[in-house]
Amino acid sequence: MISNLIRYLRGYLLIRIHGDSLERFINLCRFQNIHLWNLLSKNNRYELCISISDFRRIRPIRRKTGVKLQIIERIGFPFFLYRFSNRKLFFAGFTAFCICMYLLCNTVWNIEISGNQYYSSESLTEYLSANKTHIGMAAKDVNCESIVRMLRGHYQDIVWVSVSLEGSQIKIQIKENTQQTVSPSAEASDSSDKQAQDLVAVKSGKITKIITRSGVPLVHEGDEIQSGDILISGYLPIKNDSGEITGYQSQSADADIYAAVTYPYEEILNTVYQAKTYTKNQKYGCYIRIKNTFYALHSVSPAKQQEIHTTEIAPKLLPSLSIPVRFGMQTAKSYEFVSKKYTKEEITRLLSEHFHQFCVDLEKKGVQITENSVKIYLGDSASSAKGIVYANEKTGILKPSQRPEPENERTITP
Amino acid sequence: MYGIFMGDTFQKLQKAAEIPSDVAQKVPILTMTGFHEFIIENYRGILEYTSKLIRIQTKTGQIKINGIDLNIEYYTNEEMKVTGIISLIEFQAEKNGGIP
Repeated sequence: MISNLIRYLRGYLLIRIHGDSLERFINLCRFQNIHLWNLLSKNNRYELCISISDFRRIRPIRRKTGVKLQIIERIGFPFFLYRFSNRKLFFAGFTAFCICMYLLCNTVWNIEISGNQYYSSESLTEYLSANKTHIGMAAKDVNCESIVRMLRGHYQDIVWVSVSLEGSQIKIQIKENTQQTVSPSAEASDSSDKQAQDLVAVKSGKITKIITRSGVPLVHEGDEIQSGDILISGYLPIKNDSGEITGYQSQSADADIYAAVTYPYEEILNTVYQAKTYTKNQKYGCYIRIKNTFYALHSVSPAKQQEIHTTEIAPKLLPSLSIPVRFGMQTAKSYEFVSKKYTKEEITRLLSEHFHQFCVDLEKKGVQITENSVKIYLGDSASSAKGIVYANEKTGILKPSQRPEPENERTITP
Repeated sequence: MYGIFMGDTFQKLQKAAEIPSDVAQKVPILTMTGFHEFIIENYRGILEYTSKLIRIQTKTGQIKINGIDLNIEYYTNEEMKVTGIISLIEFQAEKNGGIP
């Protein structure tokens, strides 16, 4: 199989010989190390294959033996090239195509980021680009492990990263820590210094529940608190047998404290408003973008009071071979502001929707809404929604502790 | 070729040294696979070749191969491969039996 391929690449001839001393001819060929194969006897004539280089050496043997020779067929790649020598441009194009394909396959043309919610793909791509991982780089220079380390090191909120090179694109899958909460206990464990820290109230309210893990609670269930009040003290008093304070043990306070708090709510909407109305005047444009360079095929001239919507298409040669060319379509829509008036139903619906959104946002922060006294007041020129939202929420942030007044103590650090 | 080591002396020496005959005396080696493939090593040349008969000269004598559609697939200094339908192989030893 391999020898046949080598013969084809080098080229060979199928020849027919006839004469009186055919056996002598092939014996002499053998002594001269001329390689013959596929020797076939047909009607006192031999048909055989011989390579191009050996064919040039048989002339003396042919003369000596008086054998007559006839070339039947020229087989192999050199003859193929010779046959198509008039089509040089075709071969040049084919070679250029092969080179282009090779270059395209060895270059990164796309960075696909998935799984990100908080960090945008643009910001991640920008960061990677600043760290020598960008579109257009050689695929062999992509070090997936270093990209993983780089992302994990720079973005603390990214808890898992997977980087793979597939064809000409880098696929980055990330998982962010979406359930991150500012937990006093976590902060306490992170703090390396042993300085005492108090839990301080963030908002005024009434304590509904308190679970202390470390520190001295200064408030109890049912107590009214004001913003800035110390809820849990970071200094633990150490008493002697007679009940006198002999010292303080400094520590970071840690507790779950829930308090009933209020949120005042007020929103005013004018009955007359400026509505954005699109006119029928629309313009279309298209462009080609190669990396960050735009080539406008039909540009849209920017004007005042105009919105431009852009749609881009990324063509792909193969499923995993994308090229840095984007085709874009632009639609410019003109608009104008028209004075309009809300109806009572509309304004009621809008105020209700906005209040509902306010409640949803609070719940997302972990606030549990117990009740509300928000009411809608409709007026001729303006309408409003006013009231108070009653809620139950976790409170307390860590702050450096003020050391209590000394009596006769010494501080012990654990 | 063998100089002073002629006849029996050479054979005794070869046996004592356990040198194979094909290496020491260049006697032909014939390998046949089924009835369609025949390989011969250590031959001197082709005496006759038609599609029905191949006569091969070796050091020990002639070998005649009879058959149908006999084809010499390759033909090098070391060996020759014949394919086709082989019906008869005949050996014609020389007077001294090919023994030097």
